[in-house]
Amino acid sequence: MKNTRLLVFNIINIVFLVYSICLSTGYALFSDKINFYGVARTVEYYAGSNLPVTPLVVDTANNRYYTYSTKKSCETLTSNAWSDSTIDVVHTRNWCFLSGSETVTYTASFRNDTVLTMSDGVATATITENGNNKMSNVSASMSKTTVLPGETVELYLVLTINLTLSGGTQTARGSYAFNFQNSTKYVYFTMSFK
Amino acid sequence: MKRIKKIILCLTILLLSSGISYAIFTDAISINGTASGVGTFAINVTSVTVGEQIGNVGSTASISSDKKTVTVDVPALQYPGAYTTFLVTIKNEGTINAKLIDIVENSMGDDNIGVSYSNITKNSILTVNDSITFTVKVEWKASSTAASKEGASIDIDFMYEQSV
Repeated sequence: MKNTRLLVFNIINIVFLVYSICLSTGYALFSDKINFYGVARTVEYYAGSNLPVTPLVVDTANNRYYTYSTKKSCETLTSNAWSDSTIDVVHTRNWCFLSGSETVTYTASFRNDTVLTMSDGVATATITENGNNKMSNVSASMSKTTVLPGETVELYLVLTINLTLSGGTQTARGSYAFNFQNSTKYVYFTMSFK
Repeated sequence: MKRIKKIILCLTILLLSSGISYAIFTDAISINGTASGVGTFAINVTSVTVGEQIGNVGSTASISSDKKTVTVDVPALQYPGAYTTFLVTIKNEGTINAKLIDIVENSMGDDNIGVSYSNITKNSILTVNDSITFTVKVEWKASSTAASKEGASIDIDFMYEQSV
């Protein structure tokens, strides 16, 4: 009799144990996981206000970064250089027979070698130095206002200058602004006469 | 022999009390009908679309064949503050209510890339045949300028469990 009772107890315990295991196993199955997976990449970031451009030598015969519409014998190139995003050109006066003023268009160019588009181009020009008031009518423009990756753009700086001697120093500055990486960045073109 | 009986009795009481105290077991079995094998638990992704792309183009998203994984690609965030959003719909296609017990963000590999989500919260219940659409935003953090071009991995787990 005692053995029978013991057997019953053992059976109950075993059944309950199995029941508990099955139950907990079943419960554990009722969970699920949704996975959100992927990769995010960025492009190179260009800090500061300079537009990242590749300057072009547009006058390959003379190895110059610029060309101009009218050349007078009474002016000589002293220097032309790209530094950061600025092209600086300096002309010096020579003695010559010249009367009146001349309106000249100066042209520089760059290429967009980034993977991003330069957009919303705006050109402005100012006279930053005007000795003896021999410079006037300064303006700036560009061949396109959106420069796609790999494309080139021409920058124009137009000014009227009197190149007679004892003219002092005159400097005009063209500013070419583009939207790039969600901020405004600039290229500058300065022409100085001494 | 009496001693053995006492031990067996104690064990029985112990097992019973532990079972009762973990009341969730009882609830779960009665709701789910697990013992009869009719309950199913199926939380699946039914839709994912690319939403806004600000300062970024070409983002893609797809769902795995088992409907458990969303894979996205954000190929070229162009500046700090640029982002892409994804609209993800999860549906309870089983016969058991589910609860979002946790959202686990695994290592990104690049602190300059951030991931956030909206319209989904922990402990929210997804009843049978119900669905939820939430937004996941992948962003080049506006305060950062030094994100890696190699890319940052995105890995978020939305953990569901049966709701009792």
